[in-house]
Amino acid sequence: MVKKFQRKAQEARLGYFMVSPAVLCILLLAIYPLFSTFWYSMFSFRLQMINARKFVWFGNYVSLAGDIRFWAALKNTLVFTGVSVAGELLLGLMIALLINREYTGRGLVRAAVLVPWAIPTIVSAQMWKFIYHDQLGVLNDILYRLGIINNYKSWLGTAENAMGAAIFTDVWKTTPFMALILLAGLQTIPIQLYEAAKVDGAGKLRQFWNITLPLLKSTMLVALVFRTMAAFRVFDLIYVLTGGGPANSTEVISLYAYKTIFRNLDFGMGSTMSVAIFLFVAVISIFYIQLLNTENVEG
Amino acid sequence: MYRLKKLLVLLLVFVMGTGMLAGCGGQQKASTPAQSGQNADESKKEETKKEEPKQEQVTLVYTYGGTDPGGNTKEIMKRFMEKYPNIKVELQALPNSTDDQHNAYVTALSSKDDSFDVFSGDIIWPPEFASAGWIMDLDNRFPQSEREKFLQGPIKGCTVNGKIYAVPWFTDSGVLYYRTDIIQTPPKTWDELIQMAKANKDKAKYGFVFQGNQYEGLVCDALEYIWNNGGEILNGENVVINSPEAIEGLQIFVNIVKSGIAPEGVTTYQEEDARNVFQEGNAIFMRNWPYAYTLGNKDDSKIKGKIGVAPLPVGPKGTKGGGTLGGWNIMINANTKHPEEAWKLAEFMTSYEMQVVNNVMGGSLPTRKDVYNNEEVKKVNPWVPQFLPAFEASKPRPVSPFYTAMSDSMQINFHKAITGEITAQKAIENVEKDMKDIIAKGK
Repeated sequence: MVKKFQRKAQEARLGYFMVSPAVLCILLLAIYPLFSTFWYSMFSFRLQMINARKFVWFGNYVSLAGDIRFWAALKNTLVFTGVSVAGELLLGLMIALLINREYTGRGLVRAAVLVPWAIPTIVSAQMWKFIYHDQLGVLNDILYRLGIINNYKSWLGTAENAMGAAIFTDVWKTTPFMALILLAGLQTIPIQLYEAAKVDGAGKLRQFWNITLPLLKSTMLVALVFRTMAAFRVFDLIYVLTGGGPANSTEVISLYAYKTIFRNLDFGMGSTMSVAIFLFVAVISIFYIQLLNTENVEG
Repeated sequence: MYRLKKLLVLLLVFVMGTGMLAGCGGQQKASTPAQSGQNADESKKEETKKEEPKQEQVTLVYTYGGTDPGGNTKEIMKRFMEKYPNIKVELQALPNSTDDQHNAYVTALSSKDDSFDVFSGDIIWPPEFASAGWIMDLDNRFPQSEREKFLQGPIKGCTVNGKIYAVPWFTDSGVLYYRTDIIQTPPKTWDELIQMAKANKDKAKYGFVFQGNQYEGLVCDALEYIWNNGGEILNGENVVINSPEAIEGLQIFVNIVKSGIAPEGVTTYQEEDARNVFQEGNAIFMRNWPYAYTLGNKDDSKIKGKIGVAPLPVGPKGTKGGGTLGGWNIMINANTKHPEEAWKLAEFMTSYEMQVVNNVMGGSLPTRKDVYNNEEVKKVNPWVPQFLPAFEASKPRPVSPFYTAMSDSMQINFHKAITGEITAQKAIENVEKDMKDIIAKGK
C-alpha cells in the first residue's frame, strides 16, 4: 500500500516534470503578456513622459467607457464581423455542397476554391486595394467598359462603400476556409440516410432541411467559432485597405488599440483597449462553447 | 517487470534530459558566434593595425523611407564612403508612408534597438522622440554658428526645450502645380482656381488633385486652407483653432472636394496617387510637395516641360499663400554604438555639396540658404531660388510631444468634413476639444 502510494507520488512527480516545459512555455507566452497588459492598463503611462507613470486603478477603463471613438470602433467591428461571417457561411455552404457532389474535374475545382485562402491576408489586401483604386483599378475599368458606371467610382473613399469593400474582400478571402470545414462535415453524413429518405419519397430540399442541416450543425458551429473570433480581431486587412478611413468609418478596435499604442505612444490606454478586446473575444467564445456543449448533449 | 519499466523511464528521462542539456548547449553555442565574431573583429583589428595604423572598420546602418527614386541617397552614401574609407554605410529602406515609418521607429527605438544608427525623420517627430530619450542630443556637435546657415523653420522644428536633436536635411512645403500649356497665370485665390478648373473642363479629365486620404498628408493640406485664410491652430499652449477664419478655410476645402473639379476618389489619395493623375496629363492643378517637379519633368512623363509651380492660393481673409512645412531631418539613434561616425554621416549628408546633389538628383529643397543660389541648382531646377521667400514663410504643424494624437483627431475630423459626414464647424469644434484634452493630459 505504502509502496503503491510512493509509486503514485513518484509517477505524479515525473508527470509534472514531463509537462513542465510546456507549462513554462504557456506561462511565458500567454499568461505573462496577458497579465502584464492588464497591469499596464492600470497606469497612466505614456512613452513621451516615461517618468510620469502613475497608478490610476481603473481610471483608464472609465475613460474608455466614455470614449465615443471606441464605441464607434466596436460598432464597426461588429458590423464587419456579423456581415462577413454570415456571408462566408452562406457562400461556404453552397460551395461545400457543390464540391461534395460527384463530377469530373472535382479535384481541380476543390483546389481552385482554396486559392484565395492560400494567399496571405496582407498580400490579398494590397491586391484588392489596387483592384478598388479609382484610377488604376480593374474594377472601375470593367464596370466602365460594360457601361454600368459613367465615371470612375471611389470604392474606398466613401463611408458606405469602404465598409462594403472591406467585407467583400474578407468574404472572398475566407469563404474557402468555411467551405473546407463544411465539406469535411458533409462527408461524415452516411449516404444511407439519403437513400432511406429517397425511398420514403423525400425531395432534395426536404433531404437538405431534415438530414444535411441538422447533421452539419456542430461542424458549422466549430467553423463559426473560428471565423467569428478571427473576424472580430481583424487588423491587417483594414490596416492595408483603408487605414481606418474614410471618416474613420472602417476603424475596428484592434486598429484603434494599435494606433493608441504605436502612434500616440499611450501604453496605458492602449493596454486597456487590448484587455477590452480580450474580454469581448472571451465572451464570444464562451457563448459558442456553451452552444456546442448543449449541441453535443442533444446529439 | 516493474524494474524494467523503471529502468526504461529512467533511460527516457536521461535521454530527454541530455536532449535538453544539448538544447541549452546549442543555445550557448548559438550565442557564441557574436562573441567569436567580436574576437574575430578584434583580431582583425590587430591585423589591420599592423598593416594600416589608421582607424578601425565601422559599419553604419542608415534607414530612410521610400524608394529613393532619384538615386540621390545612394549617390550621397557612395561619396561618403569614398571620403571615409573606414566607414561602411548600409542602407535600409522603410515604407513610403510617414505613419508606417513612425510605427517602425517607435517599435525599434522603444526597445533600445541598435541595429540602425542614423535615420531620416519627419519634421514632426523631434519633440516626441527627444522627450522619450530616443535620439541623440546634438547640441554640442552642431554649433550655433552652423545652425544660422540653415532655414529657421526646420531648425525650430528640430529644437526641443532649447536643445537641437536633428540636422535639417531637406525641407518641404506644399506648393501649387499647374499646367503651363493650359493656364497662363496661376490663380491667386481658391475661387479663381475653381473657376479656372471649370472653364478648362475639356482640356483635362480633372481640374484639381491633392491629398485627401485619411492620413498625415490630409492634415498638411487642410491646415494650408486654414492658415491661408488667416486661421491659426495653436498659440503656445492655447488652442485657437476655433475661429471664423479657420472654419471658413476648412469650408473652402470641403467645397473644393464637393465641386466636382476633383476626382471622386480624391478622398483616398496620397501624394503618389495625385502625382500619377497629374503626370498622366489628367489634371490641370495639383497640390503636392516639391519632389513632384523633378519626376514630372522626366522623359517618361506625359507633361514634361509643361509644369508650372506657384505658391498656394489664399482664401478671402488670407494674405499669404504659405504651405505646410514638411521636410526630413537626420537623427541619430541614442543607442548607437558609433556616435562619432554617425555624426560624421549626419554632417556629411547635410553639407552644402550634398544638399546640391540632393536637389539636382532628387528635387528635394535644401535646408541651407546658400544652396538656393548655387549655379547648378539654378540650372536644373530654375524655380527653386524664386520660391525661397515662400519656403521661408512656410509654417510648421503644432509643435508638441503629443502631436501624433493631435494629428489623429485632425485626420478623423477633417476627413469627416470633406466626406460630408459633419460640417466644417463641427469638425473644428471637435478638434478644439480633443486638442485641449491632449494638452491637459500632457501636463
